[in-house]
Amino acid sequence: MLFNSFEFLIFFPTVVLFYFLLPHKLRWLFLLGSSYYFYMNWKPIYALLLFGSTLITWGCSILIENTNSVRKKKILLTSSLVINFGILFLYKYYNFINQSVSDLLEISGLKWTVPNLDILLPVGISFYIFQAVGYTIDVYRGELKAERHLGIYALFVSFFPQLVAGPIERSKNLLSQFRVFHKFDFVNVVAGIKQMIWGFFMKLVVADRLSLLVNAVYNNVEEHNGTTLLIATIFFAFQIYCDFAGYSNIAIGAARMMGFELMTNFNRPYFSSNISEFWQRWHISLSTWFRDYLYIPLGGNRVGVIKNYFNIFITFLISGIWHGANWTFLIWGGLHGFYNIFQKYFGLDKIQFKKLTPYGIILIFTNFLLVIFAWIFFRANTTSDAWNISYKILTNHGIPFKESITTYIYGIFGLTILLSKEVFDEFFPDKKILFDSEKPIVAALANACLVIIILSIGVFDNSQFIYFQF
Amino acid sequence: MFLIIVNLFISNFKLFIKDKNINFLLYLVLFTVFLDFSVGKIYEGFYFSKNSKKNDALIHSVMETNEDILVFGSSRALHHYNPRIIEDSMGITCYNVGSGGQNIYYHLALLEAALERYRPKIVILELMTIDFELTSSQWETEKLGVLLPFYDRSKAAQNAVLRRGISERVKTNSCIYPLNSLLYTSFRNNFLPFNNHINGYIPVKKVWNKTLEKEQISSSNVDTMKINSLFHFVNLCQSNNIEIFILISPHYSNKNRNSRYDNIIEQLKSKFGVKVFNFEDDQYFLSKQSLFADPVHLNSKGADEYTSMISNIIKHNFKKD
Repeated sequence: MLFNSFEFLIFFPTVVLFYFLLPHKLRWLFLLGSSYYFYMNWKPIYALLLFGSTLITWGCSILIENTNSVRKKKILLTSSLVINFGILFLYKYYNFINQSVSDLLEISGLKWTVPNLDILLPVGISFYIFQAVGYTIDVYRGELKAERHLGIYALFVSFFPQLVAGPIERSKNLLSQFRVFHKFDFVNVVAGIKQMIWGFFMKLVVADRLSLLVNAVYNNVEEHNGTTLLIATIFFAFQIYCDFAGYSNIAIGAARMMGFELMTNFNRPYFSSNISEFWQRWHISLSTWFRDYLYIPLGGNRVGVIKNYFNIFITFLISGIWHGANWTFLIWGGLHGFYNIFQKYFGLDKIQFKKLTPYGIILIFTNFLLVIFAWIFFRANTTSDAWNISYKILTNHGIPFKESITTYIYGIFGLTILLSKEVFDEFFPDKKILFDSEKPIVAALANACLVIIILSIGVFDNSQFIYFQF
Repeated sequence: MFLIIVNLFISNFKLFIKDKNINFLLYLVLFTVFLDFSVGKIYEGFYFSKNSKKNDALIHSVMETNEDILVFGSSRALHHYNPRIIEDSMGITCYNVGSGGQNIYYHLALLEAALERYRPKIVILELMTIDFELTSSQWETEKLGVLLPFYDRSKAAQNAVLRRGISERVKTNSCIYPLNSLLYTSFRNNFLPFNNHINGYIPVKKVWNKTLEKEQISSSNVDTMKINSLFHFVNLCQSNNIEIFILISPHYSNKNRNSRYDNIIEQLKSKFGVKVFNFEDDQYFLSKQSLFADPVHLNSKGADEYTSMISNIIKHNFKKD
């Protein structure tokens, strides 16, 4: 089920209503059933994978806790990781690796005839597997008690607001919340509604509108000049941000209405002064996951300089391939790894300027340019397309593609509202105006206007959220 | 006792409405409903203004047609049939109600909308495979959303919109939703009118100058719902004594051509005795780049030549009774 579907508009209030009407001891069961129903709306059979991953991580974690033998603990953890990442590999990476091996061997004149698998990628598989694996590692490290209640644990893995596109929650944050009795609270309801409205605005007004031009241009690279490709790339930077941050806002808002606190996933990333800061603000739940479960176990920055750079690069490469089975994602991850190492080497990540100064603005702008260059690889269909786009942006300019004037008008209008709010939130965080005004009448009017804008110029074609494919 | 209860209720209610968050929710609902209604009515007035009706081909196609000949179809109808040439040749009025990417559901809705007001003499339907074959996505019914502004003004438009899903019945309670994304169109129609069409027909000026890549013709199964709609379309014409001509206009290439039309043409002929003319691989047009804008669309030159050709055919086959 999509957040931006009519079904969700029926489903969600119904779930909230029954959640608060039910006695506490039945709520987990109701939420679990609702979450599986939510997930099974895509392809019911894939709920078995979700349940399988849940069962394995739950069982292994209890066994890890029950045994005193370090060796056995390691074997159990490894088994859980191998099975979970094996599922991920099979569904997400098998065809890519098979094809890559075949292409490589063909260059050497050899033939590789292992057929590709004709399977669909289960929605949100990378998210729930990472969440479940993170939990097992926490138990292995002794940072968390294993959850004995299979139902509560299954709910932790499948909690519908964040099931298919995050935030990738930490067991330490979310798991215990399912045992707490949440009283109906208007403060939570209002905060949740505001965040959901803003999320829908980001998704329907900005992301889906900009995607019309981005898709038209990126799917026909040969037809467009560098100016159009540059505009499409900048639009894509905001499309992917609003798509994903929009989803996160809806997810966090929906959970908040029921009394659950999910972690912040985006914190105005395009106002970062350097790449390291960007990754502290972009997809925070994933970047901290990689930090805690990959970068630090590799040695993090407690090793020599070269090893540290290697750790950074590997972490970003894996982060890239996490996003999709394509060389474009690998290059995107590699570029971010390179940016990080470069800035670290020259100490650029340490430079601090107040952001509202010329230097601060130059840093933000430069960082944005680096990020959008990497987005070219993220969005391009192939690596050769990406190089072609980069080359054209630098050399081939002309009149921008103007077929769809409404995309420019509505898209730029949406972007103006988005950026105005973000600039205000970034630089004047203490001032509560419009959407967050202390006066209910002002806040309500501002949010109602946002709803009217969504109804007026939002795109209502049930577009998938981009991150579902990851 | 009663007074105590009333007093308790009033004092609690006072507390209730003094709560900032409850206030916010009440205001939010009130403002949203009020703004949806008032802004929606302004949009509506703007969209259906006199100027807008004069300039907008869609509004004319759904609500204002009164011409003797109507041309139905997707982009291949929209860009291939010049009503001026048909009018000159036949001596009666003609309007092209074709619309890019649409299929038989849309054509049927427009025919029914026209029949709510009057009876045209001739209907020309440009047939495409998307009018009778299954397609993988639901974008075809999604595209019927262009009829949303007419939801309350035409029963036919309403039925077509409801093909998108029963949820449309709820969504159309909003005054703004049916006019979603039409603000710019309304503004342009009212303040910057420009006519890019000739009685609905949009000429394409460019000449195709690329080499033909291998056409990907995917095999598709027949969609019985679409077939039923197609038959209903023909039935409606015949039961209203409207002469119907079903045409398939030229393609640039006949390579990879399969016989997807043959079966349906046969059925239309045998079941309804409809006149079907297939120019899909007409020798005059075949491989003449100067007449095409792309492999499946004629440019204005090609369209004019094609329209002249079919005008003569229709003229000779039209029974004036």
